[in-house]
Amino acid sequence: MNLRTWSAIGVILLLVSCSQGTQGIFASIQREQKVKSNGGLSDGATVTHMAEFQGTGAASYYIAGGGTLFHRLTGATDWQPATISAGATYNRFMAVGSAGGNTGTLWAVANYDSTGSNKLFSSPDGVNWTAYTGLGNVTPQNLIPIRKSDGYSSDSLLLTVTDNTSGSLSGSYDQVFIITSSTVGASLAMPAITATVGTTSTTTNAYSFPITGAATDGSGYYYFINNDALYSYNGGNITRIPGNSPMPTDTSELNGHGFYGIAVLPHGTLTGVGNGTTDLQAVITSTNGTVYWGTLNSGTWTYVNQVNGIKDKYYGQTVPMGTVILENQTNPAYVWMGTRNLVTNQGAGFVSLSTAGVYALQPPSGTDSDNYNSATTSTITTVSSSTVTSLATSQILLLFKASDGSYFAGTATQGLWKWVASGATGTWSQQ
Amino acid sequence: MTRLRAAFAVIFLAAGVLPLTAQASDLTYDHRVAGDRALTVLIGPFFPEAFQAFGGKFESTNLGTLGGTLGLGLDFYLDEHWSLGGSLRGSVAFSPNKNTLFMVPVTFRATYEFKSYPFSFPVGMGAGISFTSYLSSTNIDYIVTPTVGALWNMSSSWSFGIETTQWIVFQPYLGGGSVPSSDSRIGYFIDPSLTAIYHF
Repeated sequence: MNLRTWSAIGVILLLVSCSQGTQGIFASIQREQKVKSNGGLSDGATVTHMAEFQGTGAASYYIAGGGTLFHRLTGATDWQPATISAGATYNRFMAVGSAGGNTGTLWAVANYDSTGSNKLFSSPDGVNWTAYTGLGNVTPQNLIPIRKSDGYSSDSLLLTVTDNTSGSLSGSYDQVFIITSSTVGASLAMPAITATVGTTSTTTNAYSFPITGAATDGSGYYYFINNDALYSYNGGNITRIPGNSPMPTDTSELNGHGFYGIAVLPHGTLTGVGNGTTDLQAVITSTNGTVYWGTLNSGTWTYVNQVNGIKDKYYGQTVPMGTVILENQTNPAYVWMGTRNLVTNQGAGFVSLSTAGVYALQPPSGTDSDNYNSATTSTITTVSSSTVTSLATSQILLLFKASDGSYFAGTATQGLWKWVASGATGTWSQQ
Repeated sequence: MTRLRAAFAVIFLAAGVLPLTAQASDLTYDHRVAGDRALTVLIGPFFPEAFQAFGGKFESTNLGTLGGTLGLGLDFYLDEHWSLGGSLRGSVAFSPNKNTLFMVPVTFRATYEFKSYPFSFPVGMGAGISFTSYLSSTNIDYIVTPTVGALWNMSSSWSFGIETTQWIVFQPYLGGGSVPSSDSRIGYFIDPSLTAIYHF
């Protein structure tokens, strides 16, 4: 090599780091994301159901929604898939929920054999599953946590089914089952309704829409809600509130508004709603963008007020509301609602209703005044200090409170998120 | 007496600088003068501090909070205070996915020792190159290593103490290769190490 070559080598050594690959070493380390070995649970997963359950095993979280049941220890970070039966054809889980508390029974709606037909399964430990055979000629469809009157916890499940009998009831949601711990209650018939088709008046309980929300007041009354009405049950027949009016006749302020979720709240939770020392309160969501609140005592609903969620960015498009839960880790507390489909598969994150008398619907980060618009007030209160774009643009199909006080949000296409309170706000992180 | 001194040396290494003046009061240091040499062995934790884009702000390294380092050094005394020498070190640190960042700097250094019998407090500055390896990438980076220390001169042959070295590793990319210039970084690390020095 001549002097020029040596000089060139010297200059290179002096000025340039020698590297292989396409990224700088320090820079690539800075950008490195921890790879989660989530057992197949992707950041784009669908999560519709969640349970915290120990049974005879270890305290774990269980989630379902995209066809797979995942579980992880409550103190761990990595999810693992579960199966009904190893080597089975499908092992598809549609829903999961616990009944009877942390040591009760874990229930799931799943199918695993070549028929592809849903069955109801129970498990004492989250590992070993047994098919339940006492439901009659129905196909299990969904497990809905029956929220207690604290607004967030659940001790029992509502099983929705479709009727397999031939005739007018075929495929309809004409009955439900209440599951408490290891026991499945008797079939409960939905109340008959009178519908007019053309000039013909027909009495039927062939419901086209399933129950989507359930709650209980702790004194024997259960409340269910579907697309058309609110229902109560306290040991006799399921009763439509108010009365057995034919749907969709608008005989109450609730009828015909696409109801979806319900949360019964302790008295005094919502400031200025009903008698603050005696009245249970309730918040009811609708996919038509309206949130209603009132009192709900011994099967009697008393409407108080409502507010509309409007997504201004989309020229007045309403925000369809879904599942609802009380977030009580901050002061004041908030009622959180999940949003459903806005455009294609996109939602608008979760919506927050303050309990402190400022009844405004707020976006997840609480700072985008152009996001939701309240019909009641324009006051925006910050709920979370961080903007989480993928969560804020998701359909939130699940809201769940864990025993450690954290909250989880299951989405349609953005996986599972966890919220941990910190002072008056909190932090979301994808799980 | 030799065994006792050795025991004290172990305690001293474990606890850092201790005022063991009584043990050294009658010693002479005939290996700290011009022409003498000092062989240094050190071991300690290794703490990533920050990465910085050239001209940018300090940012998290995204490395684990703790790594480790080993080192060897050889220095030549110019007089009672000044010495010149070189150092070879090796360090490891771990990424969020437990991948290992290796750095092996080779530096030349100048050291000045403040002396307060029987202690000495070396202050030095080194410069050289660092062989930096991570996954399939290997770099020759440039490094500057200011050092401070506190040593107990146990005998004419041995000193023990702590040396803390700040690693400033320059990793420039000019953008002419496959790595964009925007990936240029300065890395900051620190290694407070237990040090044993043999003077001869």
